[in-house]
Amino acid sequence: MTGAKSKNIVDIVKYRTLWFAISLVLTVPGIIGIAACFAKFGAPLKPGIDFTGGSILQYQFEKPTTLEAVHKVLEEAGLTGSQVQQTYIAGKEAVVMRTKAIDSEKQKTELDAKLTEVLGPFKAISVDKVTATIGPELLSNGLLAMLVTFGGMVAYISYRFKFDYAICAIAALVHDVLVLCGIFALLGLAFGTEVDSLFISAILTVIGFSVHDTIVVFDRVRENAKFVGSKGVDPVTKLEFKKTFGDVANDSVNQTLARSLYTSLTVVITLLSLYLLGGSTTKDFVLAMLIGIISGTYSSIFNASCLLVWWRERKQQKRLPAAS
Amino acid sequence: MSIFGQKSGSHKGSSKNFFRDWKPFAVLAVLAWSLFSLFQIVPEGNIAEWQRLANLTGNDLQVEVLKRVEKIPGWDKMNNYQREDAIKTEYDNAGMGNNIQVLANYKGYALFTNLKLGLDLRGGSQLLLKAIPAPPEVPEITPMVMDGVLTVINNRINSLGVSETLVQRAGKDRLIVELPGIKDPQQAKDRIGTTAMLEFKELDFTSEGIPYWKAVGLTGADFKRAQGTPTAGGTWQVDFEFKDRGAKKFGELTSRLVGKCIGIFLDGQPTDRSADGRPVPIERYQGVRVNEPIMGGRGQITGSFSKEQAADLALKLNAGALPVPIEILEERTVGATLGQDSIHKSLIAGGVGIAAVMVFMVAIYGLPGLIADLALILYTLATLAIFKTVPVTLTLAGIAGFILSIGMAVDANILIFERTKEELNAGKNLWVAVENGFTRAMSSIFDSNVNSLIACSVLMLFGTSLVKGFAITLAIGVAVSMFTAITATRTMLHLIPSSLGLFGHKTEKKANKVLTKEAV
Repeated sequence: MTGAKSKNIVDIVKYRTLWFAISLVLTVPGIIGIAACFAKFGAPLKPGIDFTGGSILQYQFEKPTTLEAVHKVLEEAGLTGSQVQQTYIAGKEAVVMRTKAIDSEKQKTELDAKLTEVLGPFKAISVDKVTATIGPELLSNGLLAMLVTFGGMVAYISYRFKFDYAICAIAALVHDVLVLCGIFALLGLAFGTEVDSLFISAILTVIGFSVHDTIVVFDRVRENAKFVGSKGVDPVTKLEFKKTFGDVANDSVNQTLARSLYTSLTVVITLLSLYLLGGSTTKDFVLAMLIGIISGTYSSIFNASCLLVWWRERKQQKRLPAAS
Repeated sequence: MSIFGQKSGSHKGSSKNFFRDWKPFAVLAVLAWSLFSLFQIVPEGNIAEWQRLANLTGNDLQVEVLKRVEKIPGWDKMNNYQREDAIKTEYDNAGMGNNIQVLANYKGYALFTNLKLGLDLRGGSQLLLKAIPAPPEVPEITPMVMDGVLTVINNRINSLGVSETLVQRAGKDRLIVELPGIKDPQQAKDRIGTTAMLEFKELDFTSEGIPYWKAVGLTGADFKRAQGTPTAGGTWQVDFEFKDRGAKKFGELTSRLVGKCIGIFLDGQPTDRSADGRPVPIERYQGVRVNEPIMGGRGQITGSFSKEQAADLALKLNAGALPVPIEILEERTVGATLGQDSIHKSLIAGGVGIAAVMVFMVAIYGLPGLIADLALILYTLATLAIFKTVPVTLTLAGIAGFILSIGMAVDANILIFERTKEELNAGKNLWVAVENGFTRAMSSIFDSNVNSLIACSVLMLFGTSLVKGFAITLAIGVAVSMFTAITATRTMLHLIPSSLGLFGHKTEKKANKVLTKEAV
């Protein structure tokens, strides 16, 4: 298992330039998309009403209606990303609609006309402007929490593994978050996909998964590190050679390959089912997790250990001239 | 690879060891506890009764609760604190009625569970608050004043526990607060509605010689922190510590008033409580005699509080006083943000997904896959039971954390299986292969899970309610998944008779030479 090179399915470390190139292809358009979003919306992604605030309308319809029907009318009126809730006012059913800011009187008249046309007459209970549910201070709090989390992870991985392992794990994690945010920035530009508070949950999930996955691969590298310098036999030429750190990392990734793929598949199966059969309000949330998990699997197989090898080899090259 | 070589011998003829092992009993105990705490069976009538209670709001609920507690045997002999406890229990029952999920009905009995679901999943209470100008200090509600109000309200609500609350400014001077779960959020209203303006006053006399309490400009805003502590007499007090400026002021005040009285007022009422548990009337309030100047900036608010009252007051003081009084304009219940229909669909989709994963595991691993499935069922039951017991308010963010932890639980099984397979390929016998595979998988399971737990604890400390909801479900899930991997999976793998074998390795082979070759 540990030694026989012939059992390796892919020579992952050898083609590392290719894997890094694929990662660049995945992240660079996303980074450009994020920049474009900054220029267009003043935020890295197209912010939804959870971040921007908007209007809150409470209407009481005379005829019974469904939330889906109300939601559909709002979408048609150009108020995408609205949230519709049911409530009781004075014992009678009413609908609470959180929408993008309705600024002009004209826009509101149009919406009212459309609602009357499709759902029948209604009584407007209240119309208010509301601020964001996730304000800037909540967001900065969250970012601070995330930075401290990274610090904690680096400390733990450095303690149990080594500092360079920690940096590579974090790099793989940043890669996954970038891929996810980049794709959503592009979706925002192309289809107007907005991010809401659920997107934050998705990012947290992806971070959790990415580091988990990377650590399992690194655990194997750590275990096999003792084979660096031991003899290996090339399967083709039958020549003996001394194993480098790269060879050992390559063996380790291959040994954990089946596990990485199976684990990701189980998560992907669940998410796919949620995406295809689940409710419409959580589609974007599930899509975000799906993208992140796939990217997380890719980065832990192809990026994290390759990065570690690259780091070690550079360090060695630096040391060699110094020694001679 | 041969580190564990010596160990293998000791495990031969291991069925004796196995039954002495604590793990199978732990599995059964956890299974029993989970089933017992997760599911309850009562006559259908009881549920209808709880739900009726839950649907009452405000005054009606209060009347009904009082009617019920008076029927409790020994009500007459209870003291105030015991009565408060009894009333609180009844309110909790009313709250539970809102969180009941009936799973099955049979012959007049209902099987149900009561997980607390968040605002996005089942809706909750919506409060509309209005800030009232307080001249002369705050003649007008400016956006800056509202920022202050929002911060304090947020602090107070977050202290209510794990729940995805929502605070939003509406219009010029109003706030919308949404609280998941309960329909009559009495506790929240008590906590939100009061200004928590703590003032120190000195006793003075008007020109006619009538005593009155004069403000001295020292308030709870000068506090660094406050904390409830028990007194020798069995009641509770609130210890406080002033900030530097407040400490100086307090020192001056107490030096000036030695031998006289200082009054401590909360929202204009004395903090002392009379026998009925209410603040003493202002005309009967004596204040606190200053025996000597207090220079250290520390002091106590005594007033025969119950433990909860002291904790609540300390919390309010720490969260800060509201800059202006607020009024609760309306309260009403709202439905789920995500839409009931959408949630129903997602539940079915989740079920289909998990079933597919189970089939996948059996397809890949055969009999061990079935073991993983059983471990997964135990894992899900135990995790949900903990969610219910804590209780954790389940929101979509929380479910995301739960899904991730399910992924990690499945991963633990896959890691153990893959390692066991490697051991079998290396020619170890069944028992040794399982033990070794398990030990070697454990190092990566341990490191990745501890790392997740570190992340969770940071998120719980610093995060906002949404992030906290995620972190707590993930942390619980990770902890339980370690347990089920250590106990259930391992125990059940050993239960497979060696005649059946694992992963296609039916015959027991002795450790062969391949091993040494590989260890080079």
